[in-house]
Amino acid sequence: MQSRIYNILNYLPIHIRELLKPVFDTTDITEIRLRIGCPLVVGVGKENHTVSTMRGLTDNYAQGYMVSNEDVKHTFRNVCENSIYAHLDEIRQGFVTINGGHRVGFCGRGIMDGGKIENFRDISSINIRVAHQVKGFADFVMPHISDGKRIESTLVIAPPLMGKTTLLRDMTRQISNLGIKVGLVDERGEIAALYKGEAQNDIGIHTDVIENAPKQLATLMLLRTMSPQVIVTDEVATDEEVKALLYAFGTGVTLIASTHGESLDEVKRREVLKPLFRAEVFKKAVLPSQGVVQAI
Amino acid sequence: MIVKILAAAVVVAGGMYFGRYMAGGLRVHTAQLAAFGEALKQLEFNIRFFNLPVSEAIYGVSETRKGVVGKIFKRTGEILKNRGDASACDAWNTAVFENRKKLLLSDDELKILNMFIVNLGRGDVESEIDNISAACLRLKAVEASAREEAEKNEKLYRISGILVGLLFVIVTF
Repeated sequence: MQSRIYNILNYLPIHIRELLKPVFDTTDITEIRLRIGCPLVVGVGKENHTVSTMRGLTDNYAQGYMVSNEDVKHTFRNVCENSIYAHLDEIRQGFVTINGGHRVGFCGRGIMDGGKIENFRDISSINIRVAHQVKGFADFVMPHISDGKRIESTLVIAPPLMGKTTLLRDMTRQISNLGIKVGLVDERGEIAALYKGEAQNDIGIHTDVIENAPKQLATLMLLRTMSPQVIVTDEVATDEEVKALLYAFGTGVTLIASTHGESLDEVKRREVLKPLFRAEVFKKAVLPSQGVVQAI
Repeated sequence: MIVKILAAAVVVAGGMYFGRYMAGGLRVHTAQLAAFGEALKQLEFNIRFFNLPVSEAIYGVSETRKGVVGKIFKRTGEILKNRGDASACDAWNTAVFENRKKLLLSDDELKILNMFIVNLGRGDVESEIDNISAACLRLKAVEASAREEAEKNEKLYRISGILVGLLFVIVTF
């Protein structure tokens, strides 16, 4: 899996590739940021460093490689495979998933149409988030929600950047590998990270994915077409999504979902999620930040 | 005497062949323009209905096209697929350069294709279709005039070939 990080290099200008290659060889980086007129920044864990023109990482930003307009244009063009139209849906959401499952986010001047971002021009910065899969991350959850044959509906609760998606991904993999048919609703492509139809993350052998489609539509489509036993979805937040989950629950499907939150009590008080608790959809709540699984 | 007659026949045949060759060039030129037009239509299909990225859409065209047009599309697709940092324009120009000897298009006609490739992949599907349609229209116009020219000049080249051969025989023998 580590080797897939090198896929990122193919999208960058040659001189940046040469600067980053030795860094990739020695450091476990989490993101790369290119901002026009600023030093090239590399994230390592929660720290940021710049890439020295003399090679290697440094905290002296004056020595850092300065990203040019051409560097950003070149990277954007490569990420879009010279084909803006083929990635327009993703660009409108502000990111494109590249080979290896890495996510490339953009900032720039939005072109608006009818209150929606139609496209971006004058791309000013690019953030490449390195995809990491942590196999075994859901080991502490599985004994609580599965007897090896059946799975209990589970809600994953955590604040941003506390591992909700990583946990869902590993739960999907483990449930799927039990021989249970899983339908994965991956609206933002973060769980499976499909690239030309192939999941870049290991999501198990019995998993079907719908990516880049609204959760409510994708959930109903999976139910109609793939007859899943379990549906997994990330970040439930709207009435429509809740309605779709209630419908799926009504058909007898087990649900694994996640939502932003600090605690089960706080989530239970949220108006939009109340129908799910009233219908007693979820049997277990998982708080990955605390490593806790609790009954609902 | 027999040698003279044979030599004269060879010269006349040579003139005839040259005339036919020139006339054939006109036909091939028209056929190449038509083939580019058809290839662009197919490219439009690959983009409109399959939403394929440029590299795959272009390579896809080459799979059903023979001759130099197919080769140019194939090579462009290969360059784009294999060299991550190549732009569509760079890849196209390389492919055209590599196949220049077999390509009978004039510089003005190549400019039409260049204009199209420079804008390829820069917009949404609708603007891609507009770009392709504009190139197709221009190609159709030059193809029509090339066809007209071919019809007008084909006979002329053939007859001129024979006449030049005969003239050479009369003057030199």
